[in-house]
Amino acid sequence: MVDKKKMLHGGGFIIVLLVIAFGAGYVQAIETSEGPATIILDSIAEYYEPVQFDHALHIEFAENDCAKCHHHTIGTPSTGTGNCILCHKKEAISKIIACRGCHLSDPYSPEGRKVVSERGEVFHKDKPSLKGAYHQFCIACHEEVDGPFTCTGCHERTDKGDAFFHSGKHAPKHTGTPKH
Amino acid sequence: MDKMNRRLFLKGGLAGTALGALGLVSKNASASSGFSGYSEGFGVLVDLTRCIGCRTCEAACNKEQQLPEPDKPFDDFSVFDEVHEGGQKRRTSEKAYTIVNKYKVEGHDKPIFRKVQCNHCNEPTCLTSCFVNAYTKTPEGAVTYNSKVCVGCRTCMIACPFYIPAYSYSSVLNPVVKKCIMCYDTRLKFGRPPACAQSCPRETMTFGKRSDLIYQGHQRIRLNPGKYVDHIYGENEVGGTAWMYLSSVPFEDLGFDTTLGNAPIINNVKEFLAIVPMVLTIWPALFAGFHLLATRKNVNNQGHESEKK
Amino acid sequence: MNRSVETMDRYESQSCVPIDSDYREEGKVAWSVQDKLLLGLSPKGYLIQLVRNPVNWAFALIFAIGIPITIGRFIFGLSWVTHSSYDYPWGLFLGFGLFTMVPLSASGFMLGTTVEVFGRDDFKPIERLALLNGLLGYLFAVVFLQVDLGQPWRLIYPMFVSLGPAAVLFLVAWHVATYLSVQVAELVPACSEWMGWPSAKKFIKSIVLGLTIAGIILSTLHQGALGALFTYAPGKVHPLWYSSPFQWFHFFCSSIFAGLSMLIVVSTLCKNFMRWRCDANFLDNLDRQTLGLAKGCSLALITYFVIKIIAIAHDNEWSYLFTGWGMYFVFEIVVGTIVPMIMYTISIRNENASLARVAAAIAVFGIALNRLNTALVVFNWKLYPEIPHWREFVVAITVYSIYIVTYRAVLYRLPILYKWKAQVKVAGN
Repeated sequence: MVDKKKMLHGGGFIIVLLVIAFGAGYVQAIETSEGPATIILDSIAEYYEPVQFDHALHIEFAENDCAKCHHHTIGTPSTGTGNCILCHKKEAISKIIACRGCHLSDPYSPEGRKVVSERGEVFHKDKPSLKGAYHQFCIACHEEVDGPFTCTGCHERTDKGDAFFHSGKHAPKHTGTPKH
Repeated sequence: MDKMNRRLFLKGGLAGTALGALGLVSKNASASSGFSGYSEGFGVLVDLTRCIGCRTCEAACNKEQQLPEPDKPFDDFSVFDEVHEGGQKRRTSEKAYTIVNKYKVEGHDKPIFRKVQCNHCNEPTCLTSCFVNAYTKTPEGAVTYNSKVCVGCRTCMIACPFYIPAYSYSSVLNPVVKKCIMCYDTRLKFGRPPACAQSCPRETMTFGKRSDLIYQGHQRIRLNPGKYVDHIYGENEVGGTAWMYLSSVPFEDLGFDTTLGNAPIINNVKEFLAIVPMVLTIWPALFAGFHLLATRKNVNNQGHESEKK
Repeated sequence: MNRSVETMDRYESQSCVPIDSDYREEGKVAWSVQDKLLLGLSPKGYLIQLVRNPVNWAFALIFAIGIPITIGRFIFGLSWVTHSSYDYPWGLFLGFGLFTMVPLSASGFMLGTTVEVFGRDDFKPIERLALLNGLLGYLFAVVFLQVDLGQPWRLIYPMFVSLGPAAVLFLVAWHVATYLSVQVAELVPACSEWMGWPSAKKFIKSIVLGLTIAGIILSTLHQGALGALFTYAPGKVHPLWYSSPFQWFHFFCSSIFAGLSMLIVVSTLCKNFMRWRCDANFLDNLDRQTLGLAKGCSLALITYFVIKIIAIAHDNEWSYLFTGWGMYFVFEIVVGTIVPMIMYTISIRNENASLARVAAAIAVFGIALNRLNTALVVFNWKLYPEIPHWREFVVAITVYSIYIVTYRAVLYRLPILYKWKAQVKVAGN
């Protein structure tokens, strides 16, 4: 299937919390005809360890309905997600499958801000960033199907992350709240 | 006697005029009405349907603003069940410029979270109530605070309709107001979003031009029928705020004050400010006139009496 | 009563009269400054008099506890004496010290206006007491403010360093500061007589009308401004106590009867406990003047009451009256306004000064109740009630006691309750 082949480029579900730079490097570990089986995200990890995303497993969960996650770009477009297809159905851009192909990985970098500010239409302006898209989409589904939906449920926190959250061995030393 | 009175009259008048100048200054400075924010000002649209209460924004704020160590780790969710004075949920404090609270809303299985921070009003009451001009509404949209001139009267805390400014009471020599400044010094000034907004994994906070955000907010409401309450909290409240909210449940269920009205709070004060120059200019002449009348009457009486005699 | 008897006894036993002129014994020897300060007693005699007075023991007890705690506020910070509430940034120091003491000190401008502007010289015997009551009340309101300010050493910032002229508090700051100097100037004559500097008195006399009119302006505005301060918090003050267009007038109008009632209360205390210091001119005229003040009070009270009702009608807040807060509001209005209003009216009809004095005490209580209600009790009515920290009470009581002691010390000495006898120095001395 042509469609399935295109999935080679697919990003899929990658949960990354608090990444400073989103110049994401997708390491496609194993390639199958169904798309990458496992996707490891490591170059952007800071507060969290690299994420191993079991793409194959999620294909199973989705019962091979790619459109469940890749909304309008592959499979049978479902309703309700994504208005892009309304205008861009016949354009090449609608053939992009990878999440990062449309969702900006770093909307807050100077380049990213420029892109966002130049977007004319409100649809474009309100497009979630890559991180936002992942977390909005994944967690919504995880909540429904009782998947993990705490931060560390999907990615382990680094020592730097512990310091950021004042958790673990960086937890506040004093006990109790001093009453002012 | 007449000569004497005229002299006194003049002195009274002069004193009044000098004071009048003072009063007129205050009137002019407050005369801006209907200011709806700097056109290029930034804002943040908080979509509460996206917030999952992970408290990452709190941690990011703590780090960015170099705030003191929190009482509990930022991944400790027991803070949502904390009950403070009078059954209050958590509020902003000298140690936390932003906090997230959890709400159980009837008819909703899942809890709903609400992020609280300074809303950066278009016409901030903290600013208009400050008698040392410690607050500034920057063209970028932030309401910043100058601790160098603050006397510590805490009128801003009385005046803030959102209960945002906190005060470092425990400091003896330099107690100051502590509040969110939208990361003005480190980020907003350079056109970057505040730390909390950037840190949010679910993009609960959308950063952008305030005018764009209002459009975006209404678009989200239109494109997702039934998902949102048809209202952007902060679009018009108290004259509009830079931080605005979208919600799936009525705002009052999440502790928002929906009784504030759309007029800037300074409008309430203007009725008094309007009488200031009138008193300053009319009173001297009026009371000097009373004085002349009252004492002239005595003269006449005396004359009358002497005639009688 | 005891105390005045004792003091009188003391003076009689030492066969001397209170100092009321420059020279002792008909112009022979001038009183020294020490004599004037020690009320003409020897240092030992003065001390004995202090110790014998039981009221001083009460003050000693208050100061023994209160002064260290008050000093502690400046060493350990505000968080040591208050609950450091973010929701209730103003506590007793401002709720009582500023918002209650300022209206109770409105007597200065009221009597100044009556005597100097309207030429009612029949109120002269009580004018200086009214001026002093005003000056000390304002002075200690500023002391209270200094206790409450986070950085009291920056008090002059709104004047000279960083100006926020659009703020109501800016107006309060400037006007209270200016009015304090006006009041100091108005009391210069009393000081100049006591100190023997007649030229100062002469100068003030030449500008007294200007000063008085400045006093009226400043008082109208800052009394009103204290009310207007709460218009910054429309959602926080209960609607019954809040009125955007009338708040300033509520505060201004109530300050009229507050100041006059306080004057009646203070003059009553002087009459009863400081009789030795009052001269016949003061004592003989007091009943008549009390009734005169009562007339002013009753007029201000009825005006205040009507405007209060109009404010409710203006915002259509009738339904609030039938809530718990509404009951409390009715209680405040009945006790603080209607009862003294009726009592004043009856006292005027029957020329019963004693009844007017009771009415005055109730009216003073009513004003304190109203100001504390607005600043603390019904503030944040949607949130939770805040009861100030016990140290906050101690500091407030201490500062107020210092106020009373200062007040008493000045009354003992300066020609407030008596007329300074102009004497000519006898040749040869």
